[in-house]
Amino acid sequence: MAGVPGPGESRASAMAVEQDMFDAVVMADERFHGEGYQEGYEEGSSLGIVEGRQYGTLHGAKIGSEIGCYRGFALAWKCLLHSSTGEKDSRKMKVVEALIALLQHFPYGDPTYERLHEDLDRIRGKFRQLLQSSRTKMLRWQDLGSEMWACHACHILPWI
Amino acid sequence: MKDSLVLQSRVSAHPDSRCWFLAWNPTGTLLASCGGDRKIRIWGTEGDNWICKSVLSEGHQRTVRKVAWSPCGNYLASASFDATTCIWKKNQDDFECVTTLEGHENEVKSVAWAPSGNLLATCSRDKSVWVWEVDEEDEYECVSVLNSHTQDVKHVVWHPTQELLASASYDDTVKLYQEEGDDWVCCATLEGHESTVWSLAFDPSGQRLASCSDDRTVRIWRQYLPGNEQGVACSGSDPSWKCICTLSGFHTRTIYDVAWCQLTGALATACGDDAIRVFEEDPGSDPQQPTFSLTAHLHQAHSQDVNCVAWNPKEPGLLASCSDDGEVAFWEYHQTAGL
Repeated sequence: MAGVPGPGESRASAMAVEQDMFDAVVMADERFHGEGYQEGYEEGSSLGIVEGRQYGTLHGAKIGSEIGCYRGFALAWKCLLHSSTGEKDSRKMKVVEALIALLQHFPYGDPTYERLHEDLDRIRGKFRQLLQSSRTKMLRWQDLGSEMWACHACHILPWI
Repeated sequence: MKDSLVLQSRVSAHPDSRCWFLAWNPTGTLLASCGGDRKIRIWGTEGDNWICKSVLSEGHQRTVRKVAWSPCGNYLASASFDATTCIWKKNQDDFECVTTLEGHENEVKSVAWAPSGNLLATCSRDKSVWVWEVDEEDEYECVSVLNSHTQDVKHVVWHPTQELLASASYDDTVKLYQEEGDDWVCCATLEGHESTVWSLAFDPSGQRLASCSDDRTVRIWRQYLPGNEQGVACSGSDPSWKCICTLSGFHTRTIYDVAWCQLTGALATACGDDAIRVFEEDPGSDPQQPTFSLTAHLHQAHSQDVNCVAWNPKEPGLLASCSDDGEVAFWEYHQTAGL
């Protein structure tokens, strides 16, 4: 007859209920382990995001400060060389303009830019080249934990 | 059948110090040596002996690591750990420092003149390679600062005929540079060595480049132009370089220098196991997969690490070597008939 559990079936379901109760006790260790891991993982992830953001901000500011210095330096030299003629000065001006162009093309807003480091190295190389040709020595100092850059002209230019 | 390397003469070039590098002038009559004693010495022959003709001592404040003669033979450039490169002008037996090139942030490791004589390259521990241009008034101007390497750059060398520059670095790679428009760019990176690449040498034709490394191997690289018949892939119009031969199992320590004789094609190596070795390409070997054989192996060529080997550009078989023991040795390399 359908719908009425037979003697064998009710014993099996009673056994199943018993097994569940023991499961809860026996598996408690593993269960807590799993829950703990899950909580830890979530907390770790959010801490990681916070740390990453802090690191990004600091690093971005450093690069910003460095590039800002190069930009100021290049623009200053652009003004200084603006009115001068002569072979040497026009060559120097070319280097200044090349540096300004590199700085303008740099995608400041995109930290995932694939050629970020390559382009930064090119900018740094161009800046060093300009530094060398303008006979300027570079000073560098730690200011309240952040790196600041400055340039000090050690040769007097004839027209200044 | 082993060819032989015979000692001709030995001089104590940089007493109580290391002798780092040697350079023959273009006519092969003078040898410049430089060392940890901050001096550069110019050696010449007087009869059968090598004597010191000049001492250049007021140029640098620290070790002089490399010296290089200009193609015309009238100038000598010296690279120093004091972060400067001096240019010396020769006036008979006297040398006068006419310019000091500054700009590198720390130790300058190498200097090399381009075959045209108008360009100079320097490289440094600051990971950069600088290209300088010299004009008719002997004024030097930096035309490019290349930041391609990620570590200390050990050596720079120019191609014998093209305006192509090669550099070797602690980052295990060799990089090649050429001028593109107004600027110099890195046009190829040669990967394969498993440790610092210490030195480079082009073969007489400039088609092949030898590199030596801390991984105890010498690698031979070949240039393949776009559209080459061997089917080697090139990107765009840039040539491609492929490693066509690796000499391994011959050296027991770091190989500090490799020199390719422009007259005979023999390859000499300077090793940290105090030995000098010479290799020759097997006659009839496939140009795309050449094989080289060891034709001379001189144990204890010096009492310490051999830092440099240099073939005389005019006298075939004349080889000079120098070592951490401060000595310079002159050798005659003979090819015995029949291999």
